[in-house]
Amino acid sequence: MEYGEFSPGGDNMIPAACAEVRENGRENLGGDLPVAVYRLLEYSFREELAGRFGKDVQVEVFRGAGYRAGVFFAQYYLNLTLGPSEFIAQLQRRLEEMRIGVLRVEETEEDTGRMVLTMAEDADCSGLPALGETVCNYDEGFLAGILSTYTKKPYTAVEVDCWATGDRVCRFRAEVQQ
Amino acid sequence: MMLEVNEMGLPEQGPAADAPEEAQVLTVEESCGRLSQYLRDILRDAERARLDVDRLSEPCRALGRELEAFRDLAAELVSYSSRLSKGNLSQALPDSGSCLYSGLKNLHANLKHLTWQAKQVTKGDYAQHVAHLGEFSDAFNDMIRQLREREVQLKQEIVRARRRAEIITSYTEMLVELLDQREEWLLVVDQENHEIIHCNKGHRDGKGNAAYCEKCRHRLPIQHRLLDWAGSERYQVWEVEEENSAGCYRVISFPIEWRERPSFVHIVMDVTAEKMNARHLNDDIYQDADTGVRNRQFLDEFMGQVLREKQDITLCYLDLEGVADINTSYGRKVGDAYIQNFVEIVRKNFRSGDTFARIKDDKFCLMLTGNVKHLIERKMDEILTAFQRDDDRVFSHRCNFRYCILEVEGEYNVLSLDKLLEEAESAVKRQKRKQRRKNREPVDFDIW
Repeated sequence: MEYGEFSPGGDNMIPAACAEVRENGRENLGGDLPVAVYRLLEYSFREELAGRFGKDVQVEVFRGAGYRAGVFFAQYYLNLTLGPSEFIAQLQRRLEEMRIGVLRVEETEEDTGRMVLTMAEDADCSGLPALGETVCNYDEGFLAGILSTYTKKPYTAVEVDCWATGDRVCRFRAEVQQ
Repeated sequence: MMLEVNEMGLPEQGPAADAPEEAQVLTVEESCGRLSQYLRDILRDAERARLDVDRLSEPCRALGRELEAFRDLAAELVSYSSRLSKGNLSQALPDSGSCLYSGLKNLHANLKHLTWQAKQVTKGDYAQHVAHLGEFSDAFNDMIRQLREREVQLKQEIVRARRRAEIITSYTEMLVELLDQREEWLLVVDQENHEIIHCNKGHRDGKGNAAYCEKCRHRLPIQHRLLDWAGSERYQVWEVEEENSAGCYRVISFPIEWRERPSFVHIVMDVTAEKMNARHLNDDIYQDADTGVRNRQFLDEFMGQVLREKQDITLCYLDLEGVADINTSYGRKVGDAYIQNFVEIVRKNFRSGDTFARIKDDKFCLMLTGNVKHLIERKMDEILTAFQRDDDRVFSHRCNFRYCILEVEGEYNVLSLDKLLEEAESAVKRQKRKQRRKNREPVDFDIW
């Protein structure tokens, strides 16, 4: 399956129990995890995948995984019946509540569905030294998964600015795939 | 090289800034001084700061080139922040990953986001929420909350207003329907062009027009009076008679805003019958039942008002002779006919507006406004002629009457009606005595 062709409810293998893990099984440690641990997992995967399959495959894998996560997130944590403005506001609140990042909208085009979004303090890259390239491939897929699920249109999201390229927010250009 | 600075603190253009000095390589010490100066120039005005790296001593050239890169960075930063401060948010974000840009880029991103949010709010989207921008977040979120609350209140107010409007509309329709069923006329007249814009006896839609009014069987004879009415009072009740006195109308008029046009409403009631009834009622009270002329009560009230108002008036006291003799000789019916005949002749010789009253039995009184003694005297001669001509054939008794005319000047008169009548009666009696003496008849004061 290629990125962008994910079918919610089809071969989505993420167990629904993921949504309740914070409630069960970690009575003492709770549902929160330090960002450092998340990054340790993410960047170790990144290295391993890049080492085994090359950079392009690693990027595609991260986008695909992010897309699955986005679909799951939209289905389990968001009310998909809201109007566009209410939905964006709800998404912002949810992302903050779950410490994923501070989502902001810079532009929207109602007729084409094109959007420019920024994600500040995101878990993937905020605070990293400049690496000279965008690294939030997982977030690209994540946002695309959410928007595709909500609009029922195939969305793609491309990161155009990243903390790792010297910016202080990650900026994504999201649009419907033609 | 020292950068020349003008009064405004800006570096001067010209040789001091741009002209190359003699192409001689500086010593290390001089190069360090030059680099220090270059750094100060950058901080003061990066755009104009210049450095000739080739003139620096070899060990300082790498630093010089780095400072030149720093100078380019600073110049771009100045330009970027300047455009940003002017609200130019559509400019591209600088490519540089320098930390010097981070705050401005963040600010730029936030401003773009806030601009988008403000646009959403103008579209009525109150789901917008600002986070992590300190006091601005609180202020913005408070503003959105208040806007949302006001919108809710306004929507509630709109619903209430619509409900009220529906109720008012239904009441108005009911009222108009009721008014259409009434006998009264309800005319709404435009204040500016004096056109009838509603008539309850007009078309079903209530719109009157001149052509329809002309043929309308309910047309008001006094319509032109209503169209010309321009009362300034809030509410006025007035009465108007047709020109030929055929009808009388009571009108209630008041200004109103009718379908966004300043208008007058006239509610018109036909009170002709009411007036006639009142008139008849007055006639019964003030009328002499035998002759149909005014009676003593009317005379008292009428003269009371005339004297109070100090009007000039001419009073003619009339004493009809022979009534007792006719009653005795021919019976009371003939006597009544004799009196009736006299009354008719007198009435024919005066206007309906003049007052002619029967005081008692064969005593009468005529009252004309103004001092017109000469007129009455002439009329009395005519009356006597007619009276004697008509009745000489009926009665053996000679028809006759005596009279006394008193001109009352309202301003100077001090006599009451009774006194005036007494004076007139005395004068008539004197006439009678004089006549009897002339006829050698014995004087009889109590002949009546």
